[in-house]
Amino acid sequence: MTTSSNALGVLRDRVRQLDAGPPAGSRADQRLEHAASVLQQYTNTFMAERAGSPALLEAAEADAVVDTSAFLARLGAVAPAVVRGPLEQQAQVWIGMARHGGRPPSSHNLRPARQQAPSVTPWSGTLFTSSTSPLGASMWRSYLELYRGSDLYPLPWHVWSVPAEGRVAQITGAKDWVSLVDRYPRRVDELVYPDWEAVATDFDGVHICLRAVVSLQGFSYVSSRGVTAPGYWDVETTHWLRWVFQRPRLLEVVGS
Amino acid sequence: MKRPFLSVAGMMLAGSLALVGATAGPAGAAGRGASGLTPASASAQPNHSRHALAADSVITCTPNVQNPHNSTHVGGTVNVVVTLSCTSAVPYISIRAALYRNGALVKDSGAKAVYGSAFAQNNAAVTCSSATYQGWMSYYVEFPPGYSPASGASSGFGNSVYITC
Repeated sequence: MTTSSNALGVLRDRVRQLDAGPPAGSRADQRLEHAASVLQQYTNTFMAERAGSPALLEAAEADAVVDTSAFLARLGAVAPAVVRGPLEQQAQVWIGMARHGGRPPSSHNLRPARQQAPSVTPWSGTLFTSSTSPLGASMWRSYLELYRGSDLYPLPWHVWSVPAEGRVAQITGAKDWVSLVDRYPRRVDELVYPDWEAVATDFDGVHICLRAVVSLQGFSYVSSRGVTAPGYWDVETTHWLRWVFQRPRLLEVVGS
Repeated sequence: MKRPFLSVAGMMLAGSLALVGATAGPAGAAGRGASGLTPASASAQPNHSRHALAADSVITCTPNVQNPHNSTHVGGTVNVVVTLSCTSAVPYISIRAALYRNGALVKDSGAKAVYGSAFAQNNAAVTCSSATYQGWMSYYVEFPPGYSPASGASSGFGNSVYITC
């Protein structure tokens, strides 16, 4: 299977879109909102239409394209942990939706990895966090702001600080993702996914940095185990595989 | 009675869809069967973009109906996102999204008001059922004092896509 020039063109377009905004004079937190706004456009149906299926890239080539982004470079100078890691474990935030009833996250949010369907994310209902930084609110919080008033993410949102202390795999770009999948492969049909149960034997969490989201979103990669399944994160995210948190602290209630 | 369609450029760098239609009525009244133009077709008609002129500046607002898709964060849901991106902040934007399944309206977001921003977004989401989906949007924008025209509005459909749950 060969990589696609269409796919590389789509990645270059993505970088151009990031570099085009946000409008001059925007607040720091609007930079994360801009990034989320750009990345959310790259959905499964968009990628199938524009980049082919699979939208296959070489990791080193993709990371090199992403590293041309002036926007990411500026963001990384202010918030390196968000853009390239390593994760600031004390700066983690989890946001509960209306359906969570204002309750803080707990170990009950984590479901066993066994017998799950293959997925690029650990399991449905996973506990994931996003990082606060000098840019202000977390990128997930910025993403949600785009959906304020939507019944997809009904208000109120309870924003909880959840300081963590665990062993975290850092995914800073496509090369790191391919390495993770190569080390913990789970091949199903024509695609390779991470074997999350195996990942959990070595790590408590997996941090998908913003630079990695830009490289990975919607793309498959050539790995020694086969073609990786595409993933869609939209925002800087850490997926947690076990409960490693200190006592959650409520930071903000939005829309109560 | 349907009003004549106008072409409204909906070009964004990637994934953009052209919008067709000048109706501002409820989603169910919008012209069914109108197909989205290709981005190339839209970019050939830049003078049809909604814009306002001032003595020394132009504000251009670009609408976009994204492809309906399987929601990443809310499993078992189909979502469509619509956006309006302006080159400078404007005092007021009203933006509305709707989602059609096999040609029938299944969700209307209602209008969302955004004040003092260069960007507005709305969405419409429903429980996933394997079918053909199409998004629709309408928007109304008020430009800052001194700009002409003082406001603009349009509506239109995005691409039809088949979604498997």
